[in-house]
Amino acid sequence: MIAGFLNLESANDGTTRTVSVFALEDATGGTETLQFQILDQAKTVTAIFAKNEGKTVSVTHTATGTGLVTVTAAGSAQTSRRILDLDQQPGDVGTAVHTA
Amino acid sequence: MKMLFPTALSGLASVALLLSALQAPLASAKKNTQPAKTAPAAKTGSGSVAYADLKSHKVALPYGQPFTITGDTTEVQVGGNALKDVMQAQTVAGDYTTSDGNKGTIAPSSITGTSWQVAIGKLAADTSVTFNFQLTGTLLAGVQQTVIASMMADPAYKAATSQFISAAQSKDSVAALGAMTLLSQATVDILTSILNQKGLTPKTPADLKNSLGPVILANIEPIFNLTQQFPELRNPALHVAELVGTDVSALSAQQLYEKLSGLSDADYQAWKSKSKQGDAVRNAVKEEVKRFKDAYRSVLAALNTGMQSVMFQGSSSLVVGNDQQSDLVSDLKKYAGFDVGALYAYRISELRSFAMVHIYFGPIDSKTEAPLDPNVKHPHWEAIRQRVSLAFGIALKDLSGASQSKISGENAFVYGVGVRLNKYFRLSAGGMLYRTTLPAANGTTSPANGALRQEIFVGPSIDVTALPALKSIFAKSQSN
Repeated sequence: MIAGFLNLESANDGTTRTVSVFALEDATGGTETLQFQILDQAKTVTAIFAKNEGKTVSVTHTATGTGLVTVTAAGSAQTSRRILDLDQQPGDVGTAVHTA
Repeated sequence: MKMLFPTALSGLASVALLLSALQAPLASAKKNTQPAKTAPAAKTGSGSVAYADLKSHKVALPYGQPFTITGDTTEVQVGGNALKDVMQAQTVAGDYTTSDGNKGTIAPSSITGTSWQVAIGKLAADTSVTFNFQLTGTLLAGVQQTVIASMMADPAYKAATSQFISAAQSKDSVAALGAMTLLSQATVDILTSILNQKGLTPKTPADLKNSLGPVILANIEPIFNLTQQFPELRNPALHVAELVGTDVSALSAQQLYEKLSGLSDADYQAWKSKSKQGDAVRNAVKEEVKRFKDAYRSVLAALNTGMQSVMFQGSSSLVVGNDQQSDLVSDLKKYAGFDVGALYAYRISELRSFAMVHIYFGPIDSKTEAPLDPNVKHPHWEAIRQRVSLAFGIALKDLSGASQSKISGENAFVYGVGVRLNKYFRLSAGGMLYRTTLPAANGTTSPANGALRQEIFVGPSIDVTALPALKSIFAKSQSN
């Protein structure tokens, strides 16, 4: 079962649009189904997790603009939500530059 | 004659006891106003009083003349916070209300550095006053930090984000923009409400809305995302508590930001050595920490931009003077005086102590030995009215050492007229009604025994309602 999400984010290189999230599995391990709602576009992806494993899961999409992106996991109460600008490309004005 | 002197002394002692007894209820009524009662007389009526001294009841108000209150912004509190922590105050204004129902306005005055001064009009004697100071200025940067924490904990903000999620979920960017606009408007209202709760209101409410509204809408992404990142970082499965060295579940957003901002690479290394988490999880947490801090700084900058140009008002109230109970006593003193003294009844040759109530013909100001007021229609009559009173009371013990008083039961009803000589002393004259006690002559009781009789009396008295002030003067002269 998914125990937590982190770093829900969008990427757009001008050709491919993806949304990714870091998911942390609990001590059970196994196949997890993650459901992404990217504005008005729904995407489902399955991933195999080892016990207590954490890894980034990505999906591609064709949604555009800024809106609400949500990811949930089947069988888990964990949810992650962000307002994301799906059109933003690296180097665009307003692209976040992370600092320590 | 030998016996008269010690007896008279005993009588005076009785009067002193009577004074104490009559003072007791007044003292009890004034028990909450001790600081004002013991206020240094030198500072009263000096024309200028310090705000801090008024606040700590170290001085009394200078009644009967216009005066100024001087202060420092470091001494003022607004909404439970020190003014210096929330606002760069530029002007002070306000109003005040007195216990006798009068109201006054405090004209706006510029604040020089941290010093301020306001002019107050003439106040009637013995009134208590509620001052409402309005301090106007710009918010200090530290306020935004506490505002963010308050906003994220506010139930109304949580409800607004839930409403946004419902409205924007599964919707395209056009519908999402509408939902974000509504969330922005709700956020501005909540921020305004939080500032109000802190005693800070925009001088012109529209200014804050106009200034903050567009900034919040432009930054609704970091504002909303910060709200979502906050619980994710507090998820126990991530063991962030081990990283920051404290339980993060009870931290506010501001506290968590401060904890995370204090982390160094060494802290992450130490976390790696003691954590059971793999590298992937630790790196993800480190990345989320960066994003949380970025979002927090973005929100802080947005609030600063939206608020820095807006003038805010902070309110601070100060109640000075009497409590309600003592106000009643003060008000009563304008209509009646309570005297004790000695009266002399010539025909029966008796000097007796007495207690009287003097009823004035309207409100008087016993403290003001003022010249005739030309603004009054009949100033001479007014001067007489201020001094003359109807008097009723009882004559008590004999003071003259008479071996056999003619007054049955030692008590007699007295009535008459009093003339106030000055603030403390009065001369009274009138009649004394009593039943006689006549000694039997040759075993025969006089037919006049037990009859109701009347005598003329005259005597000085002292106004006990003025005595607390008299006592403080004596105490001061002794201490000097």
